[in-house]
Amino acid sequence: MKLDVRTYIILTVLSATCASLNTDIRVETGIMLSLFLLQLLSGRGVFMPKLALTYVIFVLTEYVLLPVLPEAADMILSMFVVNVRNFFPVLVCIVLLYKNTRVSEMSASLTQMGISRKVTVPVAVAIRYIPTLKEEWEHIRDAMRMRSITAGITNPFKRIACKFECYLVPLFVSSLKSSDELAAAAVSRGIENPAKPSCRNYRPMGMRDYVTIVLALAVTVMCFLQRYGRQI
Amino acid sequence: MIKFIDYSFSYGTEDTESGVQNIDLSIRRGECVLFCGASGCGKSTILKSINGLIPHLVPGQSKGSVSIDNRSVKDIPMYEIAKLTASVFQNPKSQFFNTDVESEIVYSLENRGVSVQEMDKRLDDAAKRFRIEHLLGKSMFELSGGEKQQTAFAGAFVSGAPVIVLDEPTANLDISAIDNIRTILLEMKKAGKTIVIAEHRLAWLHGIADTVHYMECGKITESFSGEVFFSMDEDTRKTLGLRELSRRDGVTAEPSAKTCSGEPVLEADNLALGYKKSIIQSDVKFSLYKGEILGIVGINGAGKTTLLRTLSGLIRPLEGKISLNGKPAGEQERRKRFGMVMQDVNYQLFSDSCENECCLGNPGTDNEMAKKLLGEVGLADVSERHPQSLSGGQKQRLALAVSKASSKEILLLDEPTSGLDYASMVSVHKVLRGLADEGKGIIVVTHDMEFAEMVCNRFICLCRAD
Repeated sequence: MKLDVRTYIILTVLSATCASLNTDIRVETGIMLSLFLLQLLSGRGVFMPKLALTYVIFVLTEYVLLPVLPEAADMILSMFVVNVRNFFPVLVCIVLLYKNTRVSEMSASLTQMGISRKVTVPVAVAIRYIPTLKEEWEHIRDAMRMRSITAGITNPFKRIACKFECYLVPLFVSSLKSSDELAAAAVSRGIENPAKPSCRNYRPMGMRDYVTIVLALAVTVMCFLQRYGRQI
Repeated sequence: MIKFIDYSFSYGTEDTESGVQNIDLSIRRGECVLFCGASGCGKSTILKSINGLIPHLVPGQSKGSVSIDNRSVKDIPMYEIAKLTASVFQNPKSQFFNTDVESEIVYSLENRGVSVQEMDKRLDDAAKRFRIEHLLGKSMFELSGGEKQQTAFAGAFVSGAPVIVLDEPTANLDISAIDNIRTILLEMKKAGKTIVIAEHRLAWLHGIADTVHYMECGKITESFSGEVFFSMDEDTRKTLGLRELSRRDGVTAEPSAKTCSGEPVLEADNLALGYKKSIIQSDVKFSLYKGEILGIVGINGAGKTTLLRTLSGLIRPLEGKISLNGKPAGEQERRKRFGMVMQDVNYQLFSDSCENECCLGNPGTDNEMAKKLLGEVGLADVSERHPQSLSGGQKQRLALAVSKASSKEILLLDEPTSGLDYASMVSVHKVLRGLADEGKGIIVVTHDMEFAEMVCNRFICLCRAD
């Protein structure tokens, strides 16, 4: 079940709102289960078992491990565990958006929303560049594994700095080269054309998008009322 | 259709800085024109002056004029030039914007606001003409380099531009991918497109190029008809520093008895290659001898690079064993004893000068020794330069010098001639031969049969499992 890019964006915003408002673990796990279910329904490769498992570990850490730890350890760890856990709904929504949306669909929807090309083009290029960046990082890692870059350096901080520099230098050079080549390819294909662009992949939002948004809104309102209901 | 009148361009402020000088040229509608010559001779500058990247994107000093259909390129906005010219660049990875094939092909039409019905019509037509229906609906990241270039060609065709500009479009492709590109180009010619190409690999353009311009130091020094150019004798070709002109479907080198004797330095025994549980090649068995240069040839996807990664210890073989000097060697040991020159050598150059690059990670190599090593690979005069500022061939020779500095016993090279001109190819060949004579075992993965025949003693051909 694929949804419109706008639905995913709204879902991301609402899940972030819920995460900041909600304090009830039952509501939180309910939201997370719904999002994981949405991932599962989205087709192969969208649901990330490792991400789900990490979330479960965080919940178990908070409710099973932390209560039995000494108070000092509990205090130090709980801040980290709670804060990181709050990011999970947003993270799952971003995965949904990234894995389900082709760059052309995103550009089409954003263009239809009247967003300027000054925004849509960099967003499209950034998203398209993520897999390339990963590929380049892997090549550099391979090259470094074949050479003992830090041989002869005894200071551990200098070793880290040397490794860091060796990762970044080729990555920056390759990114600069790619950006020049991408710019050349873009302008030679008429990206600066002032005419209103057409969008082959534009699809209007459907019933499932509206239902999802209404449900997400309902949960957000519930979280709001749960937090501020008594004051109102 | 395209006219250059006393046109000069330099990338810097000085007239002498690379570019082109005093170009007078006329290209007819429907003509296919090839520009050839050594790297840096000005081929790409000519192309950029046609597709408008010069002067609209690339700054510099220009004199004279370039016009398309009697309209001066510098006076037409880029988005209007995009309706007149369509370009395909050298690197298939960095010229696409979308993550799916269909969107990529119609991208220039979307920019112009062409209706969806018209886009669909042109997309179907291009897919049928170029026989790429099987690619539609795929992600760009699933495609091979050749398929990405096919997609770029289809995008250029659907744009409807009458002029197609191609900047070394086959630099990273194997023979079968080049065959596909050749078919596409013939189809474009049939459709009446004016085609302008800059290339190092020339043989595939036999029968396509109508006119050939040979360039040296920014000037067109000789012009030939396609027929005369491709019947040029071997000595003249080599004097001009051009890659071979006739197509080669295989290699003819005989195994050398001298280099294939003695104890092997490397033995691969019944290797199964692949990632996770997916086997790309199985039962790979071969030996490498001291002082031997072994070529591994085969089409894209046959597992050539996977074989190199397995041998070098970057990944484990799924089955089988690898022995060095008769003893089984694990991944870590192989990584220590193997040197690798990657297809994109930029990823393995980390330092701020060639000298420091040789010293990095090699505490036993001082600057004097680094200078000597650089001299041996013909880089003595650039020892102070930043590695990333070198040409492609120089970078490869630097990577070989680094391997030598780290006393690697076996060298692995992945597609060392991608995008290299004849002179650079000969330089790489000389360095490899010198290293082999010193007793290093060398394995070269390549789909460049001209280079393979020039440098290798023996070959292994990997075929795709399907």
